[in-house]
Amino acid sequence: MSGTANPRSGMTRRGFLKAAGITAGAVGLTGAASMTSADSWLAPAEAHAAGEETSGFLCHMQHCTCACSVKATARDGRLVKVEPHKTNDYRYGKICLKGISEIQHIYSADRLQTPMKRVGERGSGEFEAISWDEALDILAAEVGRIQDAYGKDALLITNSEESKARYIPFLPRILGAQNGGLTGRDRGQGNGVDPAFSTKGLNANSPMTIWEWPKSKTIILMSYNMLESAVTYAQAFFNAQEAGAKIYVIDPQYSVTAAKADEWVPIVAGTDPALMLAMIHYIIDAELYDEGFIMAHTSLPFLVDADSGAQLKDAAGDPLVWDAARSAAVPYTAIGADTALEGAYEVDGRQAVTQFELLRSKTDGYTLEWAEGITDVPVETIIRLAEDYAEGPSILSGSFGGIDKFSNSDIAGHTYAVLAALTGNSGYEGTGTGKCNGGSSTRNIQLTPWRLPAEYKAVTPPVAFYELPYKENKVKGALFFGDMPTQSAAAADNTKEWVKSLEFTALIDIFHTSIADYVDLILPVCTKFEGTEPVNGIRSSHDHVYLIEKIIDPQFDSKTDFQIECAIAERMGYGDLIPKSFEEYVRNALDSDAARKGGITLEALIENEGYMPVPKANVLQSRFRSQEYETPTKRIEVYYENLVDDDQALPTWVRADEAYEDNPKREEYPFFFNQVRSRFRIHSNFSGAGWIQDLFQPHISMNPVDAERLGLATGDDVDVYNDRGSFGCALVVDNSVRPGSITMVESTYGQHLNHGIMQNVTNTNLVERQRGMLFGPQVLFNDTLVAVRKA
Amino acid sequence: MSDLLKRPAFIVLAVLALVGIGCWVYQLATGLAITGMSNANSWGLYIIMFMFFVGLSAGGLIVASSASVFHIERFKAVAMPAVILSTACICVAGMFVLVDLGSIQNIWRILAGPNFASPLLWDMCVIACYLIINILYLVFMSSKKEGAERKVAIISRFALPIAILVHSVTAWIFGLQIAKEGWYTAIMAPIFVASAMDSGLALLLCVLAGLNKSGRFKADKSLMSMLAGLLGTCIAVDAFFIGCELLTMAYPGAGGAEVLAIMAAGPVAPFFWFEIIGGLVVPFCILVFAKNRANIALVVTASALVVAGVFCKRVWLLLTAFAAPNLEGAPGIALGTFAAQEGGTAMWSVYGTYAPTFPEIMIAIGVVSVGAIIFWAIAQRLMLAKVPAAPVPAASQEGAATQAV
Amino acid sequence: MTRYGIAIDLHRCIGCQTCTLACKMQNNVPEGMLWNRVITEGSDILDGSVGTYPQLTRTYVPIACQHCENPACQRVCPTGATYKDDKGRTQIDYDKCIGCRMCMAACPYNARSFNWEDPKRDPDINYGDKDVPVRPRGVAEKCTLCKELTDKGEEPMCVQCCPGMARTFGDLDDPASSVSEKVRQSSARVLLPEQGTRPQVHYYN
Repeated sequence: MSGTANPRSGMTRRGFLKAAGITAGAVGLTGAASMTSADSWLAPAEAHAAGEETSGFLCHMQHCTCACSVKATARDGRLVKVEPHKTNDYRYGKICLKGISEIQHIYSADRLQTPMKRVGERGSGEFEAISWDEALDILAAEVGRIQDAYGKDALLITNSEESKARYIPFLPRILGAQNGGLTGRDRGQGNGVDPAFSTKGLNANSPMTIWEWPKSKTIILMSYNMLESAVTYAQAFFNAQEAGAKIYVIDPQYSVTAAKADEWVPIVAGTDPALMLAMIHYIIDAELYDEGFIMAHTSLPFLVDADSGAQLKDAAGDPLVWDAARSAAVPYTAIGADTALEGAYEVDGRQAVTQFELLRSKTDGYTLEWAEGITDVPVETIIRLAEDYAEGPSILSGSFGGIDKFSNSDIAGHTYAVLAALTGNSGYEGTGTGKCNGGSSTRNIQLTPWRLPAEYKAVTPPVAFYELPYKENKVKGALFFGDMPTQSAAAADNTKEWVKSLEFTALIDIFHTSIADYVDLILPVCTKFEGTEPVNGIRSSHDHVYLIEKIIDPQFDSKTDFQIECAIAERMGYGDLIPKSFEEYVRNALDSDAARKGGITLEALIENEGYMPVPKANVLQSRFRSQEYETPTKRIEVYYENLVDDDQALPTWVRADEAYEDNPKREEYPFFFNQVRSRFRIHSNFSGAGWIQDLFQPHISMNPVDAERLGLATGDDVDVYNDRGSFGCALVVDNSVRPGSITMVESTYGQHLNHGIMQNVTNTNLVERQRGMLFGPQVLFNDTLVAVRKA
Repeated sequence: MSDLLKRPAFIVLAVLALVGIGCWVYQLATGLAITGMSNANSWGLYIIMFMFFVGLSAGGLIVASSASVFHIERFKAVAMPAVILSTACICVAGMFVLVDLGSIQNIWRILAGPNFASPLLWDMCVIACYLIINILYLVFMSSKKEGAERKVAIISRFALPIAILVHSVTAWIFGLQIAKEGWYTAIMAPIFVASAMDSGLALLLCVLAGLNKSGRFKADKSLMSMLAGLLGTCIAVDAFFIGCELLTMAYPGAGGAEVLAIMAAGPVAPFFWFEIIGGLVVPFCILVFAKNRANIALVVTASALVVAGVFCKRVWLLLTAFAAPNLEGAPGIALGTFAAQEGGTAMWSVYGTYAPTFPEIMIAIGVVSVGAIIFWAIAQRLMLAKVPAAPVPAASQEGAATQAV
Repeated sequence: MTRYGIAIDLHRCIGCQTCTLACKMQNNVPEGMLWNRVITEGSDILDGSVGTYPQLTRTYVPIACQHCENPACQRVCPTGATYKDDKGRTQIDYDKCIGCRMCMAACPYNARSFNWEDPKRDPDINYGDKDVPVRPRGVAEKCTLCKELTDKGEEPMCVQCCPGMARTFGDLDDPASSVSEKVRQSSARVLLPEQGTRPQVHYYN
């Protein structure tokens, strides 16, 4: 497959899906050996029948953060239409090209169609079709053997986002396997923002909802290409602009969002913290800060021991502040008109300074000129950004890309918190810091996990997934629900080697993802349009509870992930622990006070076309409106005492780990490798969607200046490589790319590239400082240098 | 007819015609996707050949009818081959329109609900009239009945304006399309008439030379020189019109200049420059000298160059208009062709590109071969077979039959 | 009279191509052709920019049939297969189309697609609206302004699906309609006004 110009010329071209109403039952659970091609699955083509149409409703994709509420229509047992669910709120009854592309995507050539077992070497991709019975026998025997020999937690179960899209998996708990743990992505800035607000959890970094943006005057998006990565958020973006908000996009790449912003601020990748530190410097220097807010709601007046960096506290553990009138340190609870914001004082023979004073002296050197030298953002632009941000109400939104995948992502996050604290851009209407959100994350109803006896619980992995190839660990076998392995770790060759080294691995997935060729057993999952019961999924997101209703039967010989979990549990002797049906699962999920309060029951959901808003869903309210933060002092605590040894108690400039301009390594590997999001993918999902392939094929993009120097042109096949690995794909010359860098949309199944996969080249270093942080060390996906040569 | 079948040249033509018909049947069964055309370049070789052959048919009829209308007695000597040539060429032109249709089975709809605003409808009407006049012309010319000469004189008075009109209307198919910068010009009809005159005359000269060589028809050498002189004049007129057009395009340095840039330096540039140099300058330089006009070899060379030049002109005229869409930007136009239907980003093109495919070329060759057979057959019957030896009067019937395919 | 049209806010168009696929789905448009497409203006690569980094601009322009009030395609059609219907939409009667492609040469917007061969679909079924006629080989086709939906009073699928809410559909002859209101904006323009086609699809910023 690799290297073919047209991935769609394979199986889909045989017109093998003419038959109407293919059911799992039709091909059955009986022996399916040797049925490796799709052609043999299907009955002869039927004439276009009377056109019996049935419709259902579902929440399409959660992983892009949009969670579109859609209506899907089937005719003659085939999916024929996916459209916005018009009765739902205009903000949620939406769709984008990915949802529509499912018409073809669910029948794409990349679809796994039948259980398969490996027959060749691991990694050879040689499989033979087997029956479900045989597949489950193999899986149960191998998992049982591993768990008996090495302990239950010798089994690792990973779940990609898509594999959790329909319900909360319970198999890891039943089997007592390792599951969950640190993910190493999307949380870099969160590591730095979180302690100041103590919001805990990924979405808690999103204290503001995008629907409140029209209340803002300035919105700064840090490499956040929301108009592509979360397409349906476009309404909020433009509503804000039309209401008068000025939107800045700080991004090395001229993204779609940058093109639509009021101002695009091109920046050297990985230098965002320098820009923010200069903004802090300027805001303090020009006295643009909000002293009233600082005194009332932040830790900036608190005293810090100038020598040790420890906060001064009284006997009760309350931080101290300096009362100028009384010339004494008093608890922060006594902050008043006489409390000093600035200055150094002697307290009990110790030299103490306020955090504000410390911040001022620390950022003293971070002048505008210094920042321009590092970031390539002109001084006047930094001033404009700082002034507009300080004036407020302003939003500073991080993203899942850009700086988030650099070694200094936590420092960037920390600067956001400091900026919010200085200027009072927090809590009030139209303000916010962190990541934005399409709904109000605080109101979502928690679905009740499937009830299991207390002894059945999963083990949080002691070693994060991305460290497994490098650190001693207990894992001997793994069940991958979705391809997390090749997407969640750097240097994918190492990951693949590690997968190959395990005693048994299985992939339970919808599509032939990049890890598929490395596992011992493949179980095909059906898409969320397919199911065996009227309802096959339930989600709680964006202030709604959504059902995922059945539109068509499972296609080919696939099963729902729920069926597969149940079948595995049953085969391993836990049949009495599983729900008897998905209906029972749903009823259990809605068995909570919150759901009862909202009147949300299965019947009510079905009656209401598969969705119900949670109480007060339409009331716009960001978190912290009351200015009560979840920190011990209920203030924004910008001083991270635990990072004193790293000199990061207050944010300090540290350059990126590998992708920085004067890295001598650039002589060999000159390009920053910038992984970006696009509207054509959600990570690797939709790689095989033919209708999208018509518009977009995987490639790297390079500025014409660099391309000319290397003698490369659009359409050339290139190899991208460094000392960790390589991959090959086509090149597009694009002036939207910053010179000195290449960009690539993440991510694509290996079979659509010439060779390798993009994560083969990613930086494997981890930042030790981040080990103590809420989300742990982050994988340095973008903090990577590569070279490019003509293939 | 039977002796025709023994001639190798005729057999070659017959084989080419059959291959062409075979390819056309394939095209009917598969669709126009077997051609090099696409949504970005929706007309190709067939329409190029249509324009070309409408033009070629002109010279003959104009020479023949001039003989009567303007009493140029000397032209009467070649009136017969001229009209036969004209008839064959217009049949070829008509066939090219038919092979270009995507849904020929719906063609009766033109009669059922004609849209009189459509230049294509005008053209079909005019071509039909033109064909009828050609046939009547032939019938009257070959008639030995009383008053046939008078009838020829009358019909020639209609023939001349219709001949002018058929080229003008064909020009209007293109020249009235505001959407195509390269076509939309008032001078398109005069240029078509001028090109028709020179290419038609040039072809007539070539054919006369060929007939002379076969020894079965004798065209006076001085008449040939005279026609060559007329050809020279026509080339000058054609060049003048084209010059006017090019200057008007280039002078404002606006949209027209961009189109001109595509002509002069784009993918169609070889055709453009061949036409300007090989089709206009060189033949004119040859024919401007009387002593060259007396040299049949040189006259034939010049004529052949003119015919080739006008063909090139049809190529660049048609394709230039498709090269750059009015709304330019990636991914461009979804091509809709075989390759496009295979999916992937190859289904797009930012610019119109075109290259004829093998079956498309074979169909074109086949159609021209049928035309040659028509000419040969009619000529055989009306001119060459002075003594009606052949018992089977099949020639004209076959011509008609092929036409109806 | 009713004269349906669309107004498109180009600033709100993010080039996502949702309209492209929404149209393809709704109208059962075969592989290799599209009734609606979004071009990156003046660039030869999708999502390319005009200028030199970092002085860049980018404009997306969705293009489909402009439903011209003075349609060049209708004028040249020899059989009357292309016609203006009673709601001001430009339509094609596929039974009357002889496949001469005169209309394709006449359309300034390259809005038309031709069925160069038997339409192929992936998946190989008739998807989308079951009321949309299936087009045979050898005829031209193009945007119908979702006749099957707009006849029922619904909006065209591209309008329904546009994530940026860039599109407004309605009756241009009704001065009170929201589409008329958008068209009255100072920045409103049509594509290629010099062609004199008087499109009923308007663009504004």
